[in-house]
Amino acid sequence: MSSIIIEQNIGKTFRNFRGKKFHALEKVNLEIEEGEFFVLLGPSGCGKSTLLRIMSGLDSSFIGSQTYKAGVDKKDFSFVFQQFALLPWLTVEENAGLGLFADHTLTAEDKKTVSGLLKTLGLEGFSHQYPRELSGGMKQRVGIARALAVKPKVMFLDEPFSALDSFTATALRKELLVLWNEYKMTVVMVTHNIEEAVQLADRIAVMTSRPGTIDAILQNTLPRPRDPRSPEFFAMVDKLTALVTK
Amino acid sequence: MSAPAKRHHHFIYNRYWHVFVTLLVVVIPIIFFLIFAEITKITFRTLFSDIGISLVRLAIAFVISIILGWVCAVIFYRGKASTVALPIFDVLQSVPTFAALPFAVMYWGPSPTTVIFFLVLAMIWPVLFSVINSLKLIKGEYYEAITIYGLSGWKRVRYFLFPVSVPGLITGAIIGLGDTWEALIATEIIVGVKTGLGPFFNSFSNNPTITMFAILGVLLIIFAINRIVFLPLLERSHSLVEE
Repeated sequence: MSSIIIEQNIGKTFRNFRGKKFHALEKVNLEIEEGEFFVLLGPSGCGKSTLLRIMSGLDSSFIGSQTYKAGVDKKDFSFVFQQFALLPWLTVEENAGLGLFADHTLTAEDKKTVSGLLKTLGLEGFSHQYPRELSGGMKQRVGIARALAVKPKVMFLDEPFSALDSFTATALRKELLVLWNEYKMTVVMVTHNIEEAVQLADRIAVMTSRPGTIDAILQNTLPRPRDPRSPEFFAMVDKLTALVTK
Repeated sequence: MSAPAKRHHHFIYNRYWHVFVTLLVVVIPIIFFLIFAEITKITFRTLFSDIGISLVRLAIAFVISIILGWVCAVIFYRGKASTVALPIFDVLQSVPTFAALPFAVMYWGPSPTTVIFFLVLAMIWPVLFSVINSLKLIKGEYYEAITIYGLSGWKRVRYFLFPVSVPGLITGAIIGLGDTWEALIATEIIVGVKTGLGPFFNSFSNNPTITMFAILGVLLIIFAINRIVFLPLLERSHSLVEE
């Protein structure tokens, strides 16, 4: 495997409105391997969402160097948001196809792609509804469909399940793993949920705050499908808990 | 998965009762003006042509204001342009427009163009600032979504900036129109055009009965326009951006 995104000495400073500097990120070094499921884990305010936005190209005001693998471009990225970020005036179908019709006029094949994705994500029959008519879980399914429709090489997810109830979140985590296997893309996900990280990730970067930096990167070698009640799973959770709360 | 939920209709005329009320809103002002004409012995034609001409001027100014106001808002609502443009807009909206009236009359003469020009000056600011407000309230995640999915150029305007600005546009139009009724009559009198509500009020300024009736008539028209046009639009525009 080769690296698809390389971050070297990434730093990011915010100024609050009194002009005081605040180091959100400092000396972050990170390599994302192609095809892996990578999780950034850390408490609120440790800069993990900021790092995700820098990696995805949404935030370009940072110091340090960022390299994408040759042939990989921002166009190959997609993003799933914590609060879904579906456009309320577009239907489910239009939202899911946003990345396609932004680029060109929708072809018959695009429409087939979108309706196929909506079917896969259990949204068949909802394509002409508006986001306000959907539950939180269904909105995030649309968010995931939108991210997959562009056939991304890298999919970024910013705490995608934290706004959902635990039953929905559990179901969607499983579906995400199935889709990851099917689409063979690289996934970079931010979470503050340790069990979620252990359940999903190949590698987990533990971040600490003030300034936000990467404390450790752990390889998660638990065999898939992972049993969240197995002793190995608990051992991994304990290890991460110790690192996060250190 | 359950069956699709029934589509909510955010439409105001979803009952016969609403249709009936709306019809009344149209019919009552007409009956009112018929009675008005009968009592005051002003011909119905004069009355309606004066109202009609003023309404047409108002409508033209309205269309110009919402287009111009919206375009300026979209261009200048953020970034470096906004730090220069917004204070200028704020100064411009505070300039007492009537003070500039003699210049406009010198340029266009006592013509409807002068009236429309001043109506635009009265109406454009609420539209502009209200649309800017709508645009400034856009959540960061929406920007990120349209950026990562590559919505740009005309599509960005059509599928993003326009829909988010509609509630501001409607609110601005309502406030602007409110300010402009006053400006309409005043400008028509000051400019000295021969037809319209201004000259009408002016020529009957020593007749309290007619003046009172006419004010009541104008209020009825404003109420009817608001009830038929703006209230449904406001309802719909908010459902458009409801998450």
